Amino acid sequence: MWVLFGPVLALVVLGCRGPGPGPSSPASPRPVEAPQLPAEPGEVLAVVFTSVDCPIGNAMAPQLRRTLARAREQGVSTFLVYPRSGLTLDRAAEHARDYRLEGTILLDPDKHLVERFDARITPEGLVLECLGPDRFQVCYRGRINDLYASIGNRREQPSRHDLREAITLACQGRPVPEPHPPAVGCRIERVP
Amino acid sequence: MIPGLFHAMVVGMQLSGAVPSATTEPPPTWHGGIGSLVAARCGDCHAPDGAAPFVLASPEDFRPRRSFVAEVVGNRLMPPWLVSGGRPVHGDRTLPEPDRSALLAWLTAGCPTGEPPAGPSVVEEAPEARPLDASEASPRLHLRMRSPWTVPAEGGVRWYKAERDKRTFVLPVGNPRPLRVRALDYRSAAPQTLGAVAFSADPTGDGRRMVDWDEEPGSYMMADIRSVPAGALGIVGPGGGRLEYPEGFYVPVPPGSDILSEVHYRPQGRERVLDDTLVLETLPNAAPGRPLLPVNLMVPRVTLKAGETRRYANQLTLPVAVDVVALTPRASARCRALRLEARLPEAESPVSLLEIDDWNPHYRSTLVLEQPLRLPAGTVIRGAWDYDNSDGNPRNPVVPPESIDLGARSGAMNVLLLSAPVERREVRELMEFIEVESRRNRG
Ligand code: HEC
Repeated sequence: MWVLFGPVLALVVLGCRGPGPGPSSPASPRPVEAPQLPAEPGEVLAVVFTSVDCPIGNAMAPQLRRTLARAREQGVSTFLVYPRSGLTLDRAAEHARDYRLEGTILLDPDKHLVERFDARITPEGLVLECLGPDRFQVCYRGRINDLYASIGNRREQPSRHDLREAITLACQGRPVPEPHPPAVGCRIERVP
Repeated sequence: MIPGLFHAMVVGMQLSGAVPSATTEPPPTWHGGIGSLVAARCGDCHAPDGAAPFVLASPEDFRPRRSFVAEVVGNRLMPPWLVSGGRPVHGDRTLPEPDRSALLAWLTAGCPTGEPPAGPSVVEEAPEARPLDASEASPRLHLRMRSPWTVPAEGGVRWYKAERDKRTFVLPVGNPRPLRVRALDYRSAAPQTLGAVAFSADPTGDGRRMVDWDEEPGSYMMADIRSVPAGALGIVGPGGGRLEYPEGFYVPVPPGSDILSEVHYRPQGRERVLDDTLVLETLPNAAPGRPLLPVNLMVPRVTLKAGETRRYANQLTLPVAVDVVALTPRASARCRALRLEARLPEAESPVSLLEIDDWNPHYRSTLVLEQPLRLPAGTVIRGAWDYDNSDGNPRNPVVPPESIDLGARSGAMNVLLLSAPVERREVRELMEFIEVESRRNRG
């Protein structure tokens, strides 16, 4: 089961080139059964696999916050997927609030989204284009930025903002050049 | 630390000559030894309010991240420990290979809990933070930051420019008489943001002026004051913690001092407030004891073009016989490795004092030798630091690399050898030597 709540449903119908909704503050957690990522054909989605206590992901949160805010201005729906089993929605929402990350929160304890999009790490960013009902093209899957060269090796500042660039390209309908730099962070436990 | 049961298992594997494998041996369990291994090897930091980002104190803490932990432990990134050779030091965190393979086998097996032992528990609990000795003989001083300071959420102009990921605070003591400090215990309100915390005594008031000059609490400048290097009293970390000098030795704090704490921090993605305290455990002035003076072997400046690698070295000759009790290394993130050795007069080959193959400033601290090392007058101490300002250095804080020209009064890189003269009457001579060396190196 995965669970959906947030500033959410208003965004779902908006395509990439539609008028961008202003950032809305998350409503109180409202679990919704949702078997698939809600999106309309042609819409671009930014999906970030994240975790409440990965120090690498948390260190990148300020840049990620700006990337997500900018994506929403471009009309992109943003999602925060928490794959950790046993995590409560309240805890996930608290994390998103503490780090001021805006996006629809999805809990994925059974790793449906993890498996489907082959996510391996938190934080890992995906840019998807919706092709039709529950059909997506993966435009990008990789790191948020290069703040970390590898686990334990942190730079002063990121010099490349790969997820942000990928979102911009996808919104312009242009391909994101390969290879997509792999995410550095905390490995997701596949087996629940 | 390893309880008998677990030990027996590991020894059994070795005796049978078989490579330990999950298929031939039942996997270790939490109650069968892993619990106490984790308490001893991870528990200090991965505890509530510890320096590490999450708690590791039960199988449930491990299960949802077991392959990640296995990756990190397998790559020897955890537990963090810098020393790869030289003299044995207290608190060595190197994970012995049998422990590492047992932990990995347990993670691979899905973190089995096993049977809790019947009767009295053989599982050692994580050691409680050791209470300070409250006896009259060791008066304790509780010092607190004058006002809290907020660590910013992310790096930027306030952080890390010229590698200034640090802030210096003044902890007023106002001691009318000299103090003899034998232990320091730093308790941070936000340990996860902190790497090393370096302490020094400042009787000059310069530190206070430096801090008053800054708009916010503390100062962005280093805690080097005149010839007293930052960290002269010792360095703890990551996240604070306790440092104790061996029986019979102390670090001196002159009358009318402030303690300067140079705090090295890393933004954590959200603001964190430092409102920290330092406990000094002192010896009465009448008690017998020998002062530890910071003999500073330093290289004052590092100048490297982008992409350049270079070995820096320097040496000094001890003017008097000393007992070296502790070593405190300093270098920035572009340093990859360092070596410290002593060549005794007329000795054939040098004695290795300290070897660090994979330097990481985040994890530096004062290293107290298991046994004080006696070095005669005339001993030459030599240090070498390998710097790598290329993008092949994963710890290079800037990509693409930029040229750097960094200097510090007490050394862009150094090792403080906390040393006690063997002869009491030679204390002054060693102090003078430290002054002269400091002036010589600054040119
Ligand atoms: C001296 C304190 C200390 C000890 C002992 C320690 N850790 Fe850590 N650990 C840390 C800190 C600090 C971090 C956060 C590192 C960062 O943010 O870069 C960390 C992070 C980690 C991470 C996440 C990877 C990373 O680099 O962020 C894992 C996994 C981990 N520790 C496992 C362990 C295990 C298992 C043990 C025991 C075998 C252990 N640690 C012992 C301090 C410690």
